[in-house]
Amino acid sequence: MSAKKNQEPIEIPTSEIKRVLTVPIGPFHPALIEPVFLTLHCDGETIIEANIKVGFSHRGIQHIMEKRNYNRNIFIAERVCGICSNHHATTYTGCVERLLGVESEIPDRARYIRTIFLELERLHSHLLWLGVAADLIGFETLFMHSWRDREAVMDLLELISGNRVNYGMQKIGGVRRDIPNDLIPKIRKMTREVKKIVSNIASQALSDRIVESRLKGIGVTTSNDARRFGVVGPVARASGLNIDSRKDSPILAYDELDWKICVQKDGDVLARLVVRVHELFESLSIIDQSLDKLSDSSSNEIALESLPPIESGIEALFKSEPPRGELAYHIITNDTACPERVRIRTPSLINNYAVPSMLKGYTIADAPIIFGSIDPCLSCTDRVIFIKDINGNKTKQLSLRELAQNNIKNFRRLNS
Amino acid sequence: MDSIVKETLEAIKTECGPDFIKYWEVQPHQYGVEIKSSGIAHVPSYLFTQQKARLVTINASRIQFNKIELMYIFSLEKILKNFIVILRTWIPANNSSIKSITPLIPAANFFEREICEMVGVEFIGHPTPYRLILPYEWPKVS
Repeated sequence: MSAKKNQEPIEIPTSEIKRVLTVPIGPFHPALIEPVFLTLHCDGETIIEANIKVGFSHRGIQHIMEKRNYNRNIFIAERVCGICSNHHATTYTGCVERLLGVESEIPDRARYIRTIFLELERLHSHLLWLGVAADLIGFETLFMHSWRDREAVMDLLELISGNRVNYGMQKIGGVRRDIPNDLIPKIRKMTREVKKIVSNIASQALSDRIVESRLKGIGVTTSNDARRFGVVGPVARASGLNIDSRKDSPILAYDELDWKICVQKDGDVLARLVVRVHELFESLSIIDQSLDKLSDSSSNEIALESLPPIESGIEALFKSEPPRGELAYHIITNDTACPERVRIRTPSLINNYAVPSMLKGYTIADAPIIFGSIDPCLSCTDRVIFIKDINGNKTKQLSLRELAQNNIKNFRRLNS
Repeated sequence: MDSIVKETLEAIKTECGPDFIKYWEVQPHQYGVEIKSSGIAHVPSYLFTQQKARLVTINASRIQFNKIELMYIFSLEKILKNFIVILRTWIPANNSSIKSITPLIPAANFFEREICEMVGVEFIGHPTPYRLILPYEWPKVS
């Protein structure tokens, strides 16, 4: 099968364009944060058509999860994405708890700890994105301040869980580690520091005239387009869609707490920045309220002691709201200890689809920040199944060791 | 079952007409609606336009080695919190083709292309049936 036949063909919308320049960006390019292949068809500087190709960090996560038991899958779910690892682990465990019918029996303390972790993750992810966005538009000061100050949130996560990336906090039926009451004053002190930092970063980002003039009116997605393309998270909320899984499908402690969805109407990159900055303050408010509830909690129970066996042939969908948008796990059981089918719908997959429409009509120079404005996470996008044996035409699965050996061979071949 | 949920499910049943098979509660506020594969031509579009549902994802699973089950998961959160409808249909594995819903719901574009590459279902009428995840040189899944 020819490679060309499988490529998306160029469709030029007008006959008046005399010459079309095709600019391939990626899969690995300094302007891109993660591996993705963007093809921009341009008339001069203006993008008239864009295509996107993903699949460069494909690991077969869903297939792997169907071969391991429910407990071992928490480890895999946490590794779907490095930034929102705890959201994946929480959503997976929540889905299994729903299958077991114990969702309403999860101890209060575990629910508050999970909520705190989800919001801390949103804080560090949005600060990371602010830095990346600032770097993409050349605002190096904000980039450095944002990433420096993000460390305060990472320290907080490390203080509570002992880890900086994959926290290993979740288990089916609760959490693995408690936040002791005597640690809460220290966490409060640290969150007050983070609040000061976030206020400083927000004033830098939102009051700068250059940022505003650089981001206003580019990468616009109208409310109607946002609904048609199915975008989620801050991208949808920046286009006027009032959707947030934390409100629409409340989980954990979200429906007990007082917080607001941040919605903007312009649909441009600046609106996405404003939504994310406002979400930083909302996250801090949620953490404060959760800490109050946690300190008031009289029980020390953080996980269910025993769990019922899982029924065969049932299914459940569980949704959460990671920093990039709605995450959904759909699990179907069978009569074994492993799930029959696991489907992970990550926010980046659906948001990536809207990128070509966002790029049309804008210049090549705007492309990196428009693509960056959806906060793309390609390790979330690429999760699925096969690895091809290069020596034969057969499709087979390779073990990690075999894959590593192949990589070493290829590396040596290229460098010999 | 809430009256609004019952009303919505009955409206879906009416829209399905002869393509309707059954509906049942999968989890609290989550309902499975089984329809014949011919119903995919009009029921998702009805949910999207009339019920203001949001397509969450499409799931595909091979069952009994000779069938492929397709699950179109819609969120109807504007009607009721947590309200999910899982529209299910199945097609034979040896003739795995079904009408694409992408012309009606563009959000399905990547889901259908992913299922085409991973499970081998052909989506008839898909506007951009090109490689998404697998490399361009990868042999066609049969």
